[in-house]
Amino acid sequence: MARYGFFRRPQRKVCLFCKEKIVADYKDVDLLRKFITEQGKMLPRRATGNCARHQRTLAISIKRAREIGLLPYVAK
Amino acid sequence: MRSYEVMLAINPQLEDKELDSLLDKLKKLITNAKGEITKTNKWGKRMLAYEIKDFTEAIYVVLNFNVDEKIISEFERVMKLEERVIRYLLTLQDKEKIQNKDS
Repeated sequence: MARYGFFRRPQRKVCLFCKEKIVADYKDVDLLRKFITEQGKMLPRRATGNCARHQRTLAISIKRAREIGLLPYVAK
Repeated sequence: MRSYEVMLAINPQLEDKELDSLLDKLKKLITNAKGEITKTNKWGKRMLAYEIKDFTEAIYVVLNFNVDEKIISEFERVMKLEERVIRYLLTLQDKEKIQNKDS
């Protein structure tokens, strides 16, 4: 029952990389695709739930994958 | 000595033989400088996410090697001049960071 003024925080997501004990790699395109939108933009931390360190390594991996043509800069 | 990884996007029209000779040429640069190739991984043809030099697909090859850092500038120069290489991505492999599984 939704009471007025009652607000429940959405459940905190855990960082996938911490959970699975993996490090983002620019070669793993399928994994990176989970963290970009259909337009090819990176998802923010509040959407991915990643910790700061892993979001950083993820961002670098995505940028590298873009450079070599594995991921788009902009997808139509 | 440092450990590097290079990913090459190569002209998809190359025959297998030409591809091998191109890779041999690049590998020789490293082995001649007393480096060693630790891994070669041919991904084969793959669609590019966007057009590069009018190509829509490329042959992807990943090379892992250990070599003295002095030779890297020469290695990069050769790759830039090599027309069969559409694009390359050279990354330094930190020992600490290689805890993740080989993919």
